[in-house]
Amino acid sequence: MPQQLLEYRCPACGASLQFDSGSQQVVCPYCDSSFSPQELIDYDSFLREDAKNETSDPWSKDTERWEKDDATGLNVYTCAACGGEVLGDDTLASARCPFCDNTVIMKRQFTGEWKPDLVLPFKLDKKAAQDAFRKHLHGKKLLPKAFRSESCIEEIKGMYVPFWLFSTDVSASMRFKGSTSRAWSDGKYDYVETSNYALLRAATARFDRIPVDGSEKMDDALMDSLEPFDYSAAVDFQTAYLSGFFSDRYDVEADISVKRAKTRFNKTMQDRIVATTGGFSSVAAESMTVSEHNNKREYALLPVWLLHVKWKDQLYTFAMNGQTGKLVGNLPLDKGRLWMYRLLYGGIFAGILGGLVLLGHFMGCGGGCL
Amino acid sequence: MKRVFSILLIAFLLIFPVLSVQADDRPTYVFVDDGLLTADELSDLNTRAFMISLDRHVGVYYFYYSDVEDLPSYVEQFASEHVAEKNALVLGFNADYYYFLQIGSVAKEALPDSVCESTILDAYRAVKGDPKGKLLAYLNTTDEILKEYRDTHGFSDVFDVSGAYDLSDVPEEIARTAGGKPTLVDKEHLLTDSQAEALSQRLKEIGDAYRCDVVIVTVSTLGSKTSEAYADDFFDYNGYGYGAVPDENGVTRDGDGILLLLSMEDRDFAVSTSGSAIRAFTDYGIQTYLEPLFLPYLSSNDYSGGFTAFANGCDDLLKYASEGVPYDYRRVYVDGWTDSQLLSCNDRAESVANEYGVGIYFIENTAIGDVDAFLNDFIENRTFEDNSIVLVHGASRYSVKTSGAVAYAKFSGDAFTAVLRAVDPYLSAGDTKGAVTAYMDKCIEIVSDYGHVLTKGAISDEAKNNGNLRLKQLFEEHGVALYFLYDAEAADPEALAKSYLSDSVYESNAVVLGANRTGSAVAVKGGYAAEKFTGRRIAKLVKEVDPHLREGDLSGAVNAFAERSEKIITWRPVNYLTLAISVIAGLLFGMIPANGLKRQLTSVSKQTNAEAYMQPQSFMMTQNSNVLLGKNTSRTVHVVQSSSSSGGGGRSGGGGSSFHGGSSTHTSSSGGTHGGHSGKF
Repeated sequence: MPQQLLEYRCPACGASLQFDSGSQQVVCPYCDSSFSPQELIDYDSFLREDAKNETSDPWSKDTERWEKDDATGLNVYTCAACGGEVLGDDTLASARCPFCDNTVIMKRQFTGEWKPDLVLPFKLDKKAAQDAFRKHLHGKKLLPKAFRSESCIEEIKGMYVPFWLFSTDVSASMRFKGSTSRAWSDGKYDYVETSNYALLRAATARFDRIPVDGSEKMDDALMDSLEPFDYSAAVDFQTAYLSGFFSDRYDVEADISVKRAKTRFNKTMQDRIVATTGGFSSVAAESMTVSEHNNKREYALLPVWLLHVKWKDQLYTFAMNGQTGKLVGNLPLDKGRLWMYRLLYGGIFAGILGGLVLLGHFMGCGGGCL
Repeated sequence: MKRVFSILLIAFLLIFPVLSVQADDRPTYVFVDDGLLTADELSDLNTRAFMISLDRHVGVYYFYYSDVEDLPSYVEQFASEHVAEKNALVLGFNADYYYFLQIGSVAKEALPDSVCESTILDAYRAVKGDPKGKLLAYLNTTDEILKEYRDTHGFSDVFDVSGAYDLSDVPEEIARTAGGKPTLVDKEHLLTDSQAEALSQRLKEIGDAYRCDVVIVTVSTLGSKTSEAYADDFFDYNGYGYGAVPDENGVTRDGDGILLLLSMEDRDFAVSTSGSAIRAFTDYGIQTYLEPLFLPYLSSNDYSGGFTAFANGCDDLLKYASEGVPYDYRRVYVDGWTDSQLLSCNDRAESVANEYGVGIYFIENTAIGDVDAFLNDFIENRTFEDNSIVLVHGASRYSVKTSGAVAYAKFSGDAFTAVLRAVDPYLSAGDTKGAVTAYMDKCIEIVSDYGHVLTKGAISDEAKNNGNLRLKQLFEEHGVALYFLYDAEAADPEALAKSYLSDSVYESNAVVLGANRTGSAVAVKGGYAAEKFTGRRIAKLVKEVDPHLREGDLSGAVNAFAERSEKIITWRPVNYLTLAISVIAGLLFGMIPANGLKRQLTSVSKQTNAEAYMQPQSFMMTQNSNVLLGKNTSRTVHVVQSSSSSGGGGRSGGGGSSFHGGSSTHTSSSGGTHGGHSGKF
């Protein structure tokens, strides 16, 4: 079956539409028309009705061709607007044509098992991402000075990253070995009485929507660091939200992703339970069993601004939460400046301590009072 | 086991007729009118009675003298003449009556009159017509009763190695007598024959010369006794002690003697003294004079050397005592005073000696004939300080003398006269107590005057006192004695300072500034002072003092001396190690904020928990119980934390002696009073 490259066109002027994160509307950059996503959906279904009736269905036209380039493993898409070729891998779900900047959406990537349950629309735009990046560099004393001036943002793109959201009721039970001791003396002997206990603990808790990124390409730690997302702003998935943004479909199965979620809630349960074992002089965990009920998983697209920054032939990746504006990404370290600061602070402390020693000496305690 | 064996051995030897000659040395228990019993029968009965004495430690005596009239008083007389044991039962008969006498608490308790007159007498009377049989019945019945008593009461009243004290059958090569009582009982054969011969002779000579038994005993074991108790008992039960004979009132005083006991099992030794030897061998004399003499030899198993040293030491100490003053840690000794009377005076003198390094001595004993010779000898051998003042009051006159440069300086001229003036009225009036008090008061007044500002006139008393106070304070705080010595006419200040330093300064660390009208010089003594008062610093000191001298302002000069000296003494070099450690610590501390800055650069990290995704209030504990599996209790011996204190470091070098003079005494099991000391070698 041919890959359908979905493209929203302005009902007024026919230009390619984009989702505006500021107004949460789909806008036409040419005629300034704006539509709510729902309007567009209605319009879309109207067009579909048309397409069924007419043979000249724009979506079934041979404008959306794809062919597989066996040599590179990439799929080649043809832009419906300008005919330029868009390259994408198997998971690419939406992209922008590098020639005409039109948004192309691979409809096939959102059907069947790949249909997202919800989407969290972008709240922040490209400019906010750039500002956040500049702010991120601010106040970092050990950042190489040249990084600020010489680094350039190679690429900045808004991307819906596929996430699995896991919800579950967790029951955990743990057993500890604990002991208390009490000591006394009758003058002749010292006594130590040790009481050994088995500590039995069980607890339940509800976890909601633990996010685990389902994209192989995305660094797990980087995605983790973007948390938290505010799911209350999530809406049912509509392809209209993707206009103007890149997106991928998941390529890590839920069965595999759930392991990371499990690790996390197990740790939380363990921490909470261990916190209830106070009052013993020694406590050692002996066993832990965890079971989950009412499991629910959702497939969600979450908004992320990705910034690729190039400095001294090295690529630094930063990511910003497209909803909250939290920007993360490791910065290069200026080792020279690190040592400079170490010596600076060290010198200050050494000066203070040495000064105290000398002061003590001359105040008459012979330098022995420290 | 050993004890049982020795008792059996003795019993065996005694029964053996060949050795019956030995029976002469042991007590006789049975006396009867001539002809009633044959010699063999008597011997058998005496042997049986002696066995009882050995087994039960109670002598069982019997006499039958038909012509005795006042039986009770004769029994008493008989007992005093014949009874050798501490506890005994005497049954006496004349033609008409019988009389029982119990001697000692054990005999009184085990053999009360009721028992004697029923059980014992019945058994005695039950045998008819056989005198020996009657007596055997008496002895055996008494033995039975005593056995039962011993089985229930034990032998707590007597020493437990009964045979060990009995010297009667100890061969001559072990118990060397050299005439009279054995002076060396070498049961362990630690000495060769010739050594033992010579030693016992030497001990005998010393004993005779000073009328005091000097005895050395070596044994293998002490049984269950302490070495001290063993030595005391050995002394008492073998009747040692010079002059231990009853006086006209029948009271026997403790004899004079000293006994050294060695027990090889645990290498214990004990020195036991008795009678007048308790005063001659004071605790201090035994522990600081006698023991250091002989213990090193014993420790290296040179017993001959150790015993000879002991003998020599006894000779010395007995000599000191006989000459008037026992060797002791005491500065005040008045013959006839009690220890407690002497104690307060001695304490006072000792504290003065510790504080000022000058010993104050007062000796009175009419036994001292040649006062001056005694005085010189005393200063030579018996004073504890380099600097001292000694007053000796002998039979006819008294004499005072100082020794040492400092004492000489303190008690020169008027001060010496003042002492004589203070004491003389009391001594003339025979008031020794008043004399001692006056003497001590005056001497302490003179000694305690801290005259470190020494000038010939030219300075006001107030300035001098202030200077003295200041210098004294510095000495007390820092241990360096400072002297300001001014002689306007002195030609060479340096020579002045040096001669005073070498002649009159007793402190181990001292600085003397010698000065004349034009300038000053400094002499330094002692490692610590020399370390502080280096050439450069002395030059600075002199430079500050000299202008005052040239202006004739002695008070200013003293102040300048004190002030600069204090700075010199209190100056301390910077402790570079501490400084280096603190700088390094500072550098390390500095890493902390710098590393904090480094962490700012990292913002990517994996999430490890899901705390943020737990629904509020959804966490519920469904089980929270602690099940007691068991308890165990461990017990260790309670260790009392003793605070350790390190001695030394004091400038006076007095040390922590606990001697207060005199001798401590205790009472031995036989009731005798003993002094002495014991320990391990």
